[in-house]
Amino acid sequence: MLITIKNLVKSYKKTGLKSNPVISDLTLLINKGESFGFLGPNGAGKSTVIKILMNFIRADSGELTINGDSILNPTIRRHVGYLPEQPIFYDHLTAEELLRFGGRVSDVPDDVLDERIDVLLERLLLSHAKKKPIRTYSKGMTQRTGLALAMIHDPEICILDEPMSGLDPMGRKLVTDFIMDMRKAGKTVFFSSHILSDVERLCDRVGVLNKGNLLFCGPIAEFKNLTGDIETSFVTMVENDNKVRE
Amino acid sequence: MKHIWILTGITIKEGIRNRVLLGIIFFALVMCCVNAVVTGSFTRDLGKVAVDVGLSTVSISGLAIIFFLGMPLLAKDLDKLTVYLILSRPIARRDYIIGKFFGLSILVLISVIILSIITAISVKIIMGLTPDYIPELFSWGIFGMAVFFSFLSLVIMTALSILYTCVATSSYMAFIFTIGTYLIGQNIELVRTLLKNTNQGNSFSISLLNAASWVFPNLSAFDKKTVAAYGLDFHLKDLGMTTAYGISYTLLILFITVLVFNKRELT
Repeated sequence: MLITIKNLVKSYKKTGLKSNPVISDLTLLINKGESFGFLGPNGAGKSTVIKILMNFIRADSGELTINGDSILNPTIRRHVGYLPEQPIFYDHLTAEELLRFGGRVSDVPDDVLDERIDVLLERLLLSHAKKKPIRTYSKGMTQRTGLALAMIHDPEICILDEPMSGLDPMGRKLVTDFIMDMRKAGKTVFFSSHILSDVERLCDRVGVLNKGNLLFCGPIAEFKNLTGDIETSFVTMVENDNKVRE
Repeated sequence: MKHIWILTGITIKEGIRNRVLLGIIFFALVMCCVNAVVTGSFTRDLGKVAVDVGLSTVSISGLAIIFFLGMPLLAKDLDKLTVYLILSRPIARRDYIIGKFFGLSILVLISVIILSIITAISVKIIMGLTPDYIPELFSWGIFGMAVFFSFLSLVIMTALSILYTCVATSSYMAFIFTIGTYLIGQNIELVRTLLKNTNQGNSFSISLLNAASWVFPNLSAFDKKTVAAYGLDFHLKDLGMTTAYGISYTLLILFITVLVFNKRELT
């Protein structure tokens, strides 16, 4: 397994004695070279799981590893490309400087880095803005810069939190093509999304999370076959779970 | 170490391109002109006043850089989560804190150097216009030493501002804590000495002050304006001790900051 999440529990402390459980005993195993879609309604806990995986927040309990190493070890992130839901960068840096930073801290040799910066920016239609400060970018351009930063060190694993968020149809196509290419290249892609049609096209397997509980984990075809189409399967599953919990 | 220097570089780059830095340097230039006007209104000790006002300008501008440039840069990292772009890389949280500290300290150093040169020019001009009022023992070496200690106190404040930004729930609180610490640090030794010499104050208040003096930095130890203005005698051993105090206090604060930041949830 490339990404292992075992018995993950996370709760946020409330201003009283009670704590609010966000993730309840989640176990998720993601294989090498797999494209895994993480689905769930707003507030299901998808971003929380991703943030725990990136070691931004800490689990109450559970075992999380990437490539067999604990997520607490920062060196494992040399093999990981991460795109946050709403990437925010240093305003005064240019895309080129940002990508150079990302490449250098991930030990990409300078000559390789120069070429990779140009290729990525061209691919994501950002070449014209290479030397412009990021504060002048539109939301879509910022999102694409985030994707370029996630890919600058040619990572083995890509963890993308709502990669289509805030993108116009052109931007969505660019990102979709990017994820497809990563899949073809044998990279492991783990991403959360609300856009079920994209998930259907891009994923080998999906996991459905609702209120911190994993409702389904399996091949996309199996999920679709539950009702005949992916959207109905998703809505029915979440609604049934909500009814049970009420 | 490589990661620390890359982070230091990116912090300096972001800071230098920020218009706030230009604003602060402009303010310092204005203060140097004010120095000439203020000094002219005195009838004696003109040289002393010029050095005093000049060195105060360096300190105030350095503080302004910490408050209006350094702290907002760090607060943005934590509030708007630009820190994700750094910590999603193979960078340890410890390296992030140290890199930010070096970056901000170098920004303060650059500003102190620029401001000291401007101040020295204004002092030189004032002394040139009023040669009779140059303190007998004034030397540029002691002036430089005063600037160095001013920088050292700013480095301590930089480390404290990073700690408070990591501890506080909002950048406003961090700002208040840092200003409070600066004011306490500047005055605690004076109040302690005053109470001791006048035998005023009860044992509780004296114990409280003694305890506080172990927690808050004694920033008045780094204030060498009077020594520089009059060219007073000083002991190298005292300077060495003050330097060692400043460096160890900074290292201790950075150590605590790393411990706190390692526990912090970045949401």
